[in-house]
Amino acid sequence: MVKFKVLISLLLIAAATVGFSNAAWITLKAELAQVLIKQAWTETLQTGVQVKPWQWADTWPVGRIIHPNSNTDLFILEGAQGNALAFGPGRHINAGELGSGSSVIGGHKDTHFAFLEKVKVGDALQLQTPDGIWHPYRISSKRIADIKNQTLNVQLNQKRLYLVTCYPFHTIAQDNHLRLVVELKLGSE
Amino acid sequence: MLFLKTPKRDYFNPTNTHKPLFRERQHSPKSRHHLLLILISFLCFLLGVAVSPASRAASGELMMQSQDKASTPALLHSTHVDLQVNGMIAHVTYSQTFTNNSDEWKHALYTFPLNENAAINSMEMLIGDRIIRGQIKPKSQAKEAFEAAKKAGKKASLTQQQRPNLFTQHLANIAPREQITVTIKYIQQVAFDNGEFSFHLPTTLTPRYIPGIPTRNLSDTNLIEHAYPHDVRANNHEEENLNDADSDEAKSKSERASQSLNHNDSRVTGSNAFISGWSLPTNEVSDADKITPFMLPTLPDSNTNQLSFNATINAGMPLNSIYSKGHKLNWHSIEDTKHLYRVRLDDKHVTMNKDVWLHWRPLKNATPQAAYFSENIDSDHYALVMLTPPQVIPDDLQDFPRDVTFIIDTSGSMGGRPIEDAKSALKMAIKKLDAKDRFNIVAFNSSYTKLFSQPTNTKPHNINTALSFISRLSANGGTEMAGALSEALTAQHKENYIKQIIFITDGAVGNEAALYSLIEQELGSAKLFTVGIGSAPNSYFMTRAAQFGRGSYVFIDSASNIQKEMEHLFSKLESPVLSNLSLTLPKSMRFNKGVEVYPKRLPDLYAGEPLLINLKAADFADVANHKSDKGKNNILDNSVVLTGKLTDKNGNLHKWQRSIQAQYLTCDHRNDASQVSPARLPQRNGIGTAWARKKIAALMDEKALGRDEQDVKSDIIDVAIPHKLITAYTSFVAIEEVVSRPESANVQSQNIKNLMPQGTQMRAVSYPQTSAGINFHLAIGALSLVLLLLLYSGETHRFLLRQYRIFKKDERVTHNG
Repeated sequence: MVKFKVLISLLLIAAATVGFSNAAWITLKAELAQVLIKQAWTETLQTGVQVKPWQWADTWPVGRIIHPNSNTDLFILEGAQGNALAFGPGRHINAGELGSGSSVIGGHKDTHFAFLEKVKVGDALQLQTPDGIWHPYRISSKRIADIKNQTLNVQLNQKRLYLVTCYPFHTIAQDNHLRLVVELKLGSE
Repeated sequence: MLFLKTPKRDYFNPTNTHKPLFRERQHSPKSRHHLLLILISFLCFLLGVAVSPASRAASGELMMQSQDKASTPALLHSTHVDLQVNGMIAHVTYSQTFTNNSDEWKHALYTFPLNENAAINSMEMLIGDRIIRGQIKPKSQAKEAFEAAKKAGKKASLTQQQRPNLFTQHLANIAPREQITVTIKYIQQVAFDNGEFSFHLPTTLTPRYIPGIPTRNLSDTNLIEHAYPHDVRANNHEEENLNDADSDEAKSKSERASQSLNHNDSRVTGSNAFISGWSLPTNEVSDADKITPFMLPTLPDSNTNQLSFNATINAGMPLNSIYSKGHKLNWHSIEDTKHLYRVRLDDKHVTMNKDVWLHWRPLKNATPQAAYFSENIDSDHYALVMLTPPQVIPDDLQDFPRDVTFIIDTSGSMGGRPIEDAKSALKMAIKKLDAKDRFNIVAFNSSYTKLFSQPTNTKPHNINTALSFISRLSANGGTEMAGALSEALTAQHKENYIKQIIFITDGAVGNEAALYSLIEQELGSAKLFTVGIGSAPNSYFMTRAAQFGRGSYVFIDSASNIQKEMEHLFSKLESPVLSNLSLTLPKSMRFNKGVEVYPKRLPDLYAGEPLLINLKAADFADVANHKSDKGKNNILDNSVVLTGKLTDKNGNLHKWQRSIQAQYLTCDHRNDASQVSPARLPQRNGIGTAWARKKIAALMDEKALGRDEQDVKSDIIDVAIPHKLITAYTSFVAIEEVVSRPESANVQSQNIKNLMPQGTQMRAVSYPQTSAGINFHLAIGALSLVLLLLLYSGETHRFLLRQYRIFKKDERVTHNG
């Protein structure tokens, strides 16, 4: 009988450990990676070439966004491959290039893009592209989309920026079909 | 005192609370065993979930287009078009087939384009071998009937007009794996220009720019309500039911309540459809959500949005050629009948990402100069009259210098091939300008820029400046047409110069009516020409803007026909317009108050354009009969006559005249049967419908120019209902009387997407998976900890007690010591 109890305890301890360490690991990965990516980004800005933040990385930084109102400073990764989103917001490869076309950036609601919950229409947001230029964007709309019904339509040549994250923010379930789409326009538009 | 009654546990006295753990186990080892097994399996499950690849995948990957499009959409759609051309009237049978590929019940919503002259006068729904005929009803009534049927679980379809060239097809309750075909029939007046007939069939649309500020601001809370309205409402109703339950009529009430619950359910399922378009209504476009259907990129192996097309052309004259600009086709004459031709597209199915254009050209000597098609419905006489002005050689005519303003649309929707086509068309036009002309260019997207502050002469350095300005243009931003149009229209022009505006655009805007009114108000003596660009331009805007601008239009749908179409346009620009036209009706119609002629104001005619008139003479049969008794002493008395004047280069006036004899007689008057050959009878079908369509268009134009909407609405309904036409205020609805969907069955609404027009740069991006699942992992961890604590609650208490005692002891010891 004691054996069973020990077995249950072990399993419980294992589950708790795995659960908490996963949560911790995701957070840590998200935070730590940004530090490494920052170095890679600095190098990209200086040399103008793609720099991988760590040797075995399958992605590289392609931009930086700053949202002053929430003190957010994020490095955007080339988001197509593997689990780029774990390390930073990722640029959707099917959409346009950052700065020059309409681009779509996805990010996790519970790590990097948690700040989107509180952004307001009209907020300023700066985007830096690998050529070092800062593009002033302004949030033009926030909307919720159901991914079952639609895809996100972008006009490649319109210089819009779409930040996409899961919605609603505080849920346990993972297979969510709602997305928050924050649309930004260039300040000059 | 307040907390006196709350059970108080003494955690420091374990003897009475937690001893049983072991003893119970000894008493009933089996049940304990059982519980343990369940616990263990649950824990294994938890652990499994925590470390499973599923939870890992969510921590990072973007779902890519190629991956998630591999699955076929749940609702498939295909269109079959059967075209019968009789003279100037095209009879189109347009069948949309919806196939439910899923195991769920579906409602479908499809926004589809047609030509802006299409007059839909029949709709029916084909379910298996059952045919349900559609009824024409005022829009709101049709909508109500449809929604009621939808809720009740009956199959129903509803066809509505959103714009003259944009329609919505609703289909309710498609059973799993079922196929329903909705067949609409419409007539469309064939275009005739430059000796060539053409038929236009749009298959998709360029996403339209919606100006203005959203009127419905969907804040986050609103959206949550939309997304999760179910629980809230259902709970409310349940509470109400409970309250009612003890009344006498409990039974009937609960029945009613369950109905209202159902009603609620369907509203909730219907709320999926609340997103019917990608744009929200704005203060300038109040129906923006209805004209902005979701778009889909064309994929090579896609099996949805397919079109099959075949046509029979009875032109009434021998044809020289039949061709299509964007599609390959083959044609042959049907042997036994002389002027009957059959046309098939080479591909059995074409992808619906660009407009279908069909052109046919009669043999040179067979080109008609005038034609009179008529139809008698009850006692009313309808006619379609075509009169071609004489061919003139531009060089023989007096010629004025021109002041040309080019407006080029550089908005985002022009991105890709369209902007390149537009730029080369514009360059071509600049080079074609005459030495004595003056010109300017206005480029616009969200705002506009002028090349020169004033119209400038065509000296080479100005031309070069213009060409390099054009080269630098790129497509970007919104489509704010009003500013650019107004700038071009109000620009001062020199005396004796003819002011012409050439507007190069895809017409992808949602505020057409406001722009028409702007053109009408500010036009003055200018003429506005439109050049439609792209695979799916908004032809409603192109043709109507040119009509309000008293100009003409051409369409450029691929790089290969820029040259041809621009030359065509220039022939119109350079040759003087045939204005000061006058039309004389047959004597019998002249003083009849029941005669209505459209267009009311004769348009200006450009080189190669015929005058087309739709007329109706009410209660005419008797008059015509009476007239024919009297004999035909003067042919002109019985003819429609068009006269006009031309000034040649020596300043001499030349008068010209075209006429066609009115043919009142159809099968009603057998006494003159010799004239009515049976072969020509079918030609007359649809003339009445064509007239009604023209009248409705004229009424809508009045509305755009500011006439009261209620007046226009009642006038339009008066025409539309007897002619069974879909208009902005009338819709077709077909409802099957049988209830087919069981109340318990779940049903989902689904939008059918249109394909992106070929060559545009717009792209559909699938949404990324954007949850790292921290909350999920935390929840697992927390849950495990709680379970662990529960399991060891006995030990914990004992341990805590021991610690407490040790602590106390220590305290005492230190005290003592």
